[in-house]
Amino acid sequence: MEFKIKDALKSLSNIFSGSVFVFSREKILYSSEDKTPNISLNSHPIVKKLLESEMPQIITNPGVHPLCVNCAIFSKCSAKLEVAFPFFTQGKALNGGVCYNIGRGASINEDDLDDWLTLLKHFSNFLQYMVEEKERLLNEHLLKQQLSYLINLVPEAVAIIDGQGRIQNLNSPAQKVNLANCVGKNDVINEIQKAHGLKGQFRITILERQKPLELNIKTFGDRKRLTGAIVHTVEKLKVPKDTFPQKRNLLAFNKIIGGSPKLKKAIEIAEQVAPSDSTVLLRGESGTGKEMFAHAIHLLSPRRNENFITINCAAIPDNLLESELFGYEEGAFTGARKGGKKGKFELANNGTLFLDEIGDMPAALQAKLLRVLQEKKIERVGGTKSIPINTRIIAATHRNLEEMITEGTFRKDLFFRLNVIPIFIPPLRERPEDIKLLLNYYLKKYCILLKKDFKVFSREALEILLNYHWPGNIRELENTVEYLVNVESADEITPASLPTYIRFNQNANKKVGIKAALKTQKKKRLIAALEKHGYDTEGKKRAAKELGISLSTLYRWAKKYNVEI
Amino acid sequence: MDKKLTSQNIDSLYYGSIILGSGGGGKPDTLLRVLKSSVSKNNKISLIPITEVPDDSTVAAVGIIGSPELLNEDIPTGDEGIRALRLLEQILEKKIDFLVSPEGAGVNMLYPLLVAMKTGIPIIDGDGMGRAFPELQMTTFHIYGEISGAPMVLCNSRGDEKIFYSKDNFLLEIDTRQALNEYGGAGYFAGFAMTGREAKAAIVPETISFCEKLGTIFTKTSSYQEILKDIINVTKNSIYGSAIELFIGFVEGMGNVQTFKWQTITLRGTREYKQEEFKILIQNENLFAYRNNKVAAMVPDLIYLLDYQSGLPLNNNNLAPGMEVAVFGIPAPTLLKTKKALNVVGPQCFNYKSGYQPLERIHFSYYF
Repeated sequence: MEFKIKDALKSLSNIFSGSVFVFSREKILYSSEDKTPNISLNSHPIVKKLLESEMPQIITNPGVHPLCVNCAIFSKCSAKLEVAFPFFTQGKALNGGVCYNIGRGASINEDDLDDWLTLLKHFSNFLQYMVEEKERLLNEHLLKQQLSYLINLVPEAVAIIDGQGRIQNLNSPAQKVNLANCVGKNDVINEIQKAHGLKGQFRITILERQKPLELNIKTFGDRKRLTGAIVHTVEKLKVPKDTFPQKRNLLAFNKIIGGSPKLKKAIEIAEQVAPSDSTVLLRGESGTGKEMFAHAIHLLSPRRNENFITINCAAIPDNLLESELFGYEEGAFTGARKGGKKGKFELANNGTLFLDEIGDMPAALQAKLLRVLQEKKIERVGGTKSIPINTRIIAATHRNLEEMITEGTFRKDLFFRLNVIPIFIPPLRERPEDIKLLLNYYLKKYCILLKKDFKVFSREALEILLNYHWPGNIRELENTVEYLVNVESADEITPASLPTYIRFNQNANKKVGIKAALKTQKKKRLIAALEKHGYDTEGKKRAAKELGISLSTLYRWAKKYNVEI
Repeated sequence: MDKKLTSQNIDSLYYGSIILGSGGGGKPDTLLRVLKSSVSKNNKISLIPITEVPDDSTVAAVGIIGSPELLNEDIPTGDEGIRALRLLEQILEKKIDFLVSPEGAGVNMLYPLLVAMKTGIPIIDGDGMGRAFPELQMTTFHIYGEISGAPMVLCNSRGDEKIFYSKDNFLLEIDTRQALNEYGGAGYFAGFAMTGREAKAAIVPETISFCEKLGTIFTKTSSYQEILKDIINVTKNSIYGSAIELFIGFVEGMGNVQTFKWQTITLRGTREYKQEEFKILIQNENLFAYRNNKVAAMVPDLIYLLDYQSGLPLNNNNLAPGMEVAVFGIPAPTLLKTKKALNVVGPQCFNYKSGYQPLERIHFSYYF
């Protein structure tokens, strides 16, 4: 680019048998001369005047003009005309510009002076663009170098992807795990293109050397257009080893924290159905803890000492899902492992198979799954032999399956087969009384995992966190606490450590006003009174009495505030 | 919204206070009888959430100090604490608006309730320890509020009174212990005066209501397995954290470690723990637990015992060789586990030379 700017300046200077230079602040950046003259800009009175006035300057009578009196090259000056234009951005002068020194040989007359000035002005704009473009390229190059250095500092494998899905940079851990190959082979780019616009960040699990590899993907875009992405592995925190064996049945529901009536109801149903082999369908928004429920049901079942196998139907590319579920025989497809491979159904034989995000299962596989559930037999991909299986199925979804049936994207017969025992897990916003418990629970967890001293929330920070609406449910809350433990070095977590979107949300909440606050207060009081006295008729009567309202008002409040009674 | 404690709640608080006593804290049986007979006269106790205590109100702690076993010989009436409290009000030239328990466990769970009931002064739902500890400075009043116990008034049932002005809580502990020798080993005190605002930063909240909820489990007859499930349910949804069964076994031996102030309980495993051994080290409270010589729990986390047959909680004074007991751990509230708190109530304060190992770290997969 530097070469091109110099070329342009040379061509220009030839036209008017003079010289041109581009300056910025107190330096000449580019000049039409072969060697940039070592002259301070102070020696060019016209430039000095331009920088002071921020206006274009013209000397039509060099040697006579008052500005020429102090010029360092006064005696050597051979100019016929000297013109300088400042650089402008959005109407504001920059500390730079172009200076044209037009020689006596130039065929410029007074008549065509205006045309010449217009032309020189256009040249100035063009030169400004070239200079800025060069600076931009330099900055871009610097950022690339810094980014390359930075990504090599992190232990995670990182791949930087451009808008066309091409890998632009890989750090050394990425080269070790062959991330470029994983990304290409597993159609990750396709997943990125599909997900962009729907979710800015998501996780997928792919298979690399027959081992699942969890990848986090962050997409970037300009409006709806994907401009790039970052793919990286997810570091698993080292879990401390237990000193003593644990009784498996006691591990069931002690990790599901919360005492809200809706959650209690879900736990109650789960406990009741756990000992049987019935298929369970867990319904609930993303991040509500469906997998924890599934695991708890497994631990309370007679199958507790067998495998609990999980598969996320949304995270595995469609073309891999079938072989993941049912396994494959040797030579079933290119790259198939020698001796074949067991699928999740076989791995979960005599145990439990948790089919997460069942609503995302492709139609062809839905049919195959239905057949397996009916016949209790599977066939590996590329195989002909039927293998009997005894697996308990727990499925889960955040999607509205009934709606999907109407749309024809989910099979009705499969739905009925799965929906034997539906359990609805409430979102966090429907159990605000559990937020504090969950915050403290995860605070302890991450203080231990991250080997930090135990911390507490300050009263103010807790207040803000309790008022946040947690759209991502427990998963979001857990991630937030992990972040806070990471960033807070003191014993107490204060509002200053909270992510801005949570702090900002607090201000938004305040603006909602007293009416909304009263509504929340009433709802909390209603739930607390019902919790205390019970949900039977007697309990409701006592709760109404405590709240100082009639029984019919209690029913009206319950309806109004969406409290199930 | 305050809660009224009635005679129905007292039984629950009694059982809960034994658990929070972690083997010590004093056997609250005598106080249970006194409190129940007083509450039955339609007196109610107002239990106030800390959030509802006005910042400019005056809060003070009232309780028993010394050997609670001596209370069986000289049954408390609550009037001793009231005398101490009134004298404290005179010294402060202020009315006490709210009471707080210095130690929400054992006798100090029930005695402040007795004083609250007799005076009509509301008591805050919370305390200064979240469990039982042996020394005066081992309170969150001291750790987080830097509240001095002084001026402190110490009384006995014979009508004697002493006032202490040592601003340093460690010195105050030594001074009061010395005075207790003259009082025959036990006394009643009022002190730790603070504002409502200070109390908000300096107490472990919700411990009385937690104690009541926990104790309610034992007021219903049920099997060990049901009790276990209920304990887990109540504890996991509290500021403490899920209780964990650490061992089941017969009490094989109880004794003192010569030249040290430690007492020990040794258990021989039964049921799922056959061929295993469990040891508890005690200084007033159960402080360290070892399963087959490996640490299973340590202070400030709570270690307590249940009678396996009846399922009822046990104070160490109730133990006898040959009894089959279940040992449990409950994580202490996080307020007692911060670096600041561990300096005052952590294992090193009991001469343990290594760092604190949290219950949730030792049994990580159980908790997380």
